[in-house]
Amino acid sequence: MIEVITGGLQTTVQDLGRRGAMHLGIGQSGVMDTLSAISANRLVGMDDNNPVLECTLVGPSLKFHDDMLIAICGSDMTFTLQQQTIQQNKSIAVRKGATLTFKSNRLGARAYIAFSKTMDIQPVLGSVATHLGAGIGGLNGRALMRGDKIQFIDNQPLARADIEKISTARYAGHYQIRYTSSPESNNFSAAQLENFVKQKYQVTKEFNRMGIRLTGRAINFAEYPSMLSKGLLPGAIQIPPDGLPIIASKDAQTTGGYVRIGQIILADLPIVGQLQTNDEIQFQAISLSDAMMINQTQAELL
Amino acid sequence: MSVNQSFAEQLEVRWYSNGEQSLCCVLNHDDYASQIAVLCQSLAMRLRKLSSAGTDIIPCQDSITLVSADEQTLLYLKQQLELLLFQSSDDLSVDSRLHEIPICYDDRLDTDLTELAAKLGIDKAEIIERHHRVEYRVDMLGFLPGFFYLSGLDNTLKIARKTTPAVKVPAGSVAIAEQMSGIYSLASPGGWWVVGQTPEILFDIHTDPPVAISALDRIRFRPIEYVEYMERKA
Repeated sequence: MIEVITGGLQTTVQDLGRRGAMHLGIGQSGVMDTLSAISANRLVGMDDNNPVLECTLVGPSLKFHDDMLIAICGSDMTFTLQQQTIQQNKSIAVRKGATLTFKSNRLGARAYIAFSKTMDIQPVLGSVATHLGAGIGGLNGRALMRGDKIQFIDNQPLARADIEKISTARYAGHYQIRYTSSPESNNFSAAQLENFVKQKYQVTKEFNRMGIRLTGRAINFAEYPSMLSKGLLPGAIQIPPDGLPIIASKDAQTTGGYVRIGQIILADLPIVGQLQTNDEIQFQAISLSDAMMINQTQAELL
Repeated sequence: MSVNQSFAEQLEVRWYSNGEQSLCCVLNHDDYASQIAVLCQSLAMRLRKLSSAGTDIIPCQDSITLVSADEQTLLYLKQQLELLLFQSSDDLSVDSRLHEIPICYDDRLDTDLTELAAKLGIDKAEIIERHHRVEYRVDMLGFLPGFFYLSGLDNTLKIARKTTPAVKVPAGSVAIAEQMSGIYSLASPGGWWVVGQTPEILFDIHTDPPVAISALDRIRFRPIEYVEYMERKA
């Protein structure tokens, strides 16, 4: 069992997300940075989909009531274990009674804590992922709070780390993000598309699990193209009438009525999960076949 | 048979890429425009029966979005949908239930009726009358869990979405925008104009299915007094 001493800014239970319920208005949810979450799970010898804690900017402090291995990957969030700073991207043995305490976070927005056991949480529609807007999954659909206790499934053989170290992303505060076309891409003129990739956008203070609002030079419309709402996936780059892009995140609405200029490639979605205020991004349009190849390469590296 | 064939022949079908894991199929039919939403829902229901776990099939008013992490599955779904489209006809009768949803339009509740009356140039009582005297069809579910898009709104109540969405629309709000009415089962930000509140709980994750109303069901709003609203809410 782990006991929550402080919940941090927004710490949620996540897995790789929910599938098959979008037609009910229930989106995918799941970890914002799949690469870091999967890496952390592999470091403690668990399945990629084993539930993890997603920590946002300010991490939690946790008291352990069981022995287990943990691994922390993602943003450069530092923690101490019994007052000793622990290393990221490494499997760490935690003894019963020890306390993991958040210290700081500078680069990147989210860190993942994986455990060599499985949290005992009832899945909702096949997933334990927390969807904050809908109040479902995880701990009653909300972020962790002081006093919460999370039990682990008993009699689980203690997993062993199957890898020792992983290669990790570097968070620098400025990123190139690649995208492929979307169903409304041809609503944009050549000039609009060119301006979109030429300029740099900044991440505003509004970046969360629903969406990430960007600022920069707005895309101007002589007349805003009206459309009926369509199925919307995480990574969609929506352009509302004010011309400033909004990236759909993992808890985004399942349908949207703003025209989309593109869909961010899967391989770059983990970086989207690490964006924070004032980070600078530049978009790059690529073909679908290139996107597939890049995904393949990323999967092999993991 | 001839009717079926001509319907399928005149159906405009366009496919769009929507990233590596998704395809979007957009439909149009000049003679049956108002039926396209029904077609999308009924096709999606049939397609869902043919699909495996891990796939999402999202029907909207003029589109069906297919989602699968597996490339072969995505292509299979596309083929199956094309087959269903080829066989589609203008006979789109489906099983649908009629739901009577209580609604309270009282001023003491959080509504935009005053502003709406000014914008539409129709007095409040008349807006209320026009809102509940028609029967609606649930064209789609989406946005957030338990948000219902209802077609059938009285033409005179057509209004553009708010320029700036409200930060928080309470759970149970019944609202209008464009040519639709909608129900917010959960509290959320929202750009639609709220006309009333229902005390009914329409989304509960602990029930199976979690939503009480299905796409293509029909809705009638039954006005209730403030006292009854408060009693049912308690």
